[in-house]
Amino acid sequence: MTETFFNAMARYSWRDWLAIVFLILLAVFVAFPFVWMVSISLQPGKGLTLPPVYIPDELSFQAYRDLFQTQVPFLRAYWNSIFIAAMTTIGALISSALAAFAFSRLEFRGRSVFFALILMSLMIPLSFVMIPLFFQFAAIGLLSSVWALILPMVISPLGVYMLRQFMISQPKEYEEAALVEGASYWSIFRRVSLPEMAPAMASLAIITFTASWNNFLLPLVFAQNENQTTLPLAIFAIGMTGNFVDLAVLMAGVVLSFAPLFIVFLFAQRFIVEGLTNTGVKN
Amino acid sequence: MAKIELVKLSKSYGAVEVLRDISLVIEDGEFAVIVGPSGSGKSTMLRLFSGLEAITGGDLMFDGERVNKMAPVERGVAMVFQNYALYPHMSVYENIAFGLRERREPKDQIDAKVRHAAQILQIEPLLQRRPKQLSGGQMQRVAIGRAIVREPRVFLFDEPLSNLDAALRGQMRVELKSLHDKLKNTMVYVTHDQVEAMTMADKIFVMNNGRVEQSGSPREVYSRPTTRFVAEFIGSPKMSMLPCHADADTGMLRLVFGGDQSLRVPATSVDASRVATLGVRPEDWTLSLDGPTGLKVQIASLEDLGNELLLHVSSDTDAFTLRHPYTDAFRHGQQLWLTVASEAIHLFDAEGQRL
Ligand SMILES: Nc1ncnc2c1ncn2[C@@H]1O[C@H](COP(=O)(O)OP(=O)(O)OP(=O)(O)O)[C@@H](O)[C@H]1O
Ligand SMILES: [Mg+2]
Repeated sequence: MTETFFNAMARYSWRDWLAIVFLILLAVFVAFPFVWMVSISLQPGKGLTLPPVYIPDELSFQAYRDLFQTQVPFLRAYWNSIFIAAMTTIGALISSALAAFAFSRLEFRGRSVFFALILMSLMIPLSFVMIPLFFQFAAIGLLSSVWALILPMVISPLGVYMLRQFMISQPKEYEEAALVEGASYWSIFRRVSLPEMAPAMASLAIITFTASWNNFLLPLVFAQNENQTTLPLAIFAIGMTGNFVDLAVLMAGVVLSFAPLFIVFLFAQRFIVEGLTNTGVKN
Repeated sequence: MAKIELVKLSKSYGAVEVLRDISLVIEDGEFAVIVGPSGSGKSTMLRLFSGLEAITGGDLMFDGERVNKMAPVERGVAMVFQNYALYPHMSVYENIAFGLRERREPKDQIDAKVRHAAQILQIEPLLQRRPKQLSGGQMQRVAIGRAIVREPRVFLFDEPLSNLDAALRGQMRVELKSLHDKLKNTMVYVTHDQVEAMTMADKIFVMNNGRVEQSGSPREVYSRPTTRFVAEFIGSPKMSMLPCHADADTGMLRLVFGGDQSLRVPATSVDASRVATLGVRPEDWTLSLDGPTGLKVQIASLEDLGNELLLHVSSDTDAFTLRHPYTDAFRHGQQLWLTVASEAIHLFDAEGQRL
């Protein structure tokens, strides 16, 4: 035991130790609000105390039970958020991958102009197009549907940009080899380019899922009914109900809303590392 | 199998002309090697053959049929890329089977073909591995396997051996050549290595700056280079090139070099006034330790290759290399007198054309 421990210690130089200590401090600093959040949610009725109590004397899950007793349809919001984030992510992955394939591997007239247009749209914040979008969705009768919260986010200029940049850094011989071997463009996309893009798509999935999960503005403006309530709206609503809200209940909502993101991160991280070590060319 | 014919073929990228008016014929079943320095347009030529790049002028014919506008797959070509381009997420088996699956061949037929190719290339134990688990030489074989299962009319190779070490390169040269003897397909092989060109080719095409400078059998190209460029590019060490001018002298040709040295060679039917350069292969000089006939040079350094010597010598104005079977007769700093037989001289005019 001790021997292996010291062997492990010996592998690091003092520079490494400095970095390790710094990273630990950073991790503590980043983790601090999360720990506080969890600990408040486990101490109903106590509210905000200073200095913070990190480890409660007695654990109570009462706040988690209360969370589902409020006027706000928390469970419904939870499901909506999952559905919206999942659909948005799948849609953004598909549309971005297709567009990135075209912009990096196909030659067509106006390719650079179209790509420049997409880059320009990156600079337009959502709040600018919110009102026109609202009227558009109202016109096609989708405003009260959950799709009104999905479709605007399914086309992702950031995603197109990310995947296209990734693809132009990869050798185009993969696709060329497939073309010479008689594969159709669709088949090249599906069997060669798509697996090639997997690591970049994993990053994009995280970004898209997180952005959709945390999106507050779009549902705030668009949501017409209970079917469209999402978690951020629900938590906001809990904070607004009546003049007395137990902070523990609010924090319990936040803790629960944080959990799926945590799982997505864990899953995608492994996938990225796996993808990066795949290579079929010799340099 | 196919005969490939190029008629005034050219390729430009915008205003940049990369290939210019190339006309040549590669016969059915020939092992053709396209050799040339970096940037001369070799890869571009292969990419035009494969259909990956559009032709901008002239005609490309396979077996007399114009294929300019044909999609890559319809041309029946298989290409081996310099970096192999094996699909990283597929096993060796799936890599080799890829093209057959795209053609929707029956499963058992695919399996038979893949195993047959694997047997020819001796990669049967590797079929379930991923490309990243292979060595350079193994990846190379898989890439060739992927090409041969499709039974193409034409094989295209773009510098397939350049990523291998010297020993493996020598071995793969022999294997590729015997593969060609077995399959008898037309093969077009691109390289910048003149040793590969000399040893493997039925026919060499020497490219320079977007043109084919000379084509012919390796022997022809070596012994009768038609331009100075070819003379210098083919052969190692390089042919010595001595600037000179010539006088006709009673049935002989007197070549005058810098420093007023001269060499008398039996006159051929050469117009003396146009002579600008004398070229001689390193092994074609006759060396003598006694003067005064011949071109006087001094040994600047010696390289002992075991079986032979490379002598780096300098005359009054030029420095070049001689090759001689091993002997201990030569010393650093010694003077030598060089003569050359008439059939071993190569004379070029000021434009670099053979006289
Ligand atoms: N897509 C392109 N756009 C513009 N110029 C190009 C393009 N591809 C190649 N070229 C130019 O064409 C010329 C020939 O290139 P090519 O790749 O055929 O050379 P090569 O003989 O294969 O050289 P190497 O031995 O380095 O592979 C080069 O000058 C190159 O810069
Ligand atoms: Mg090349």
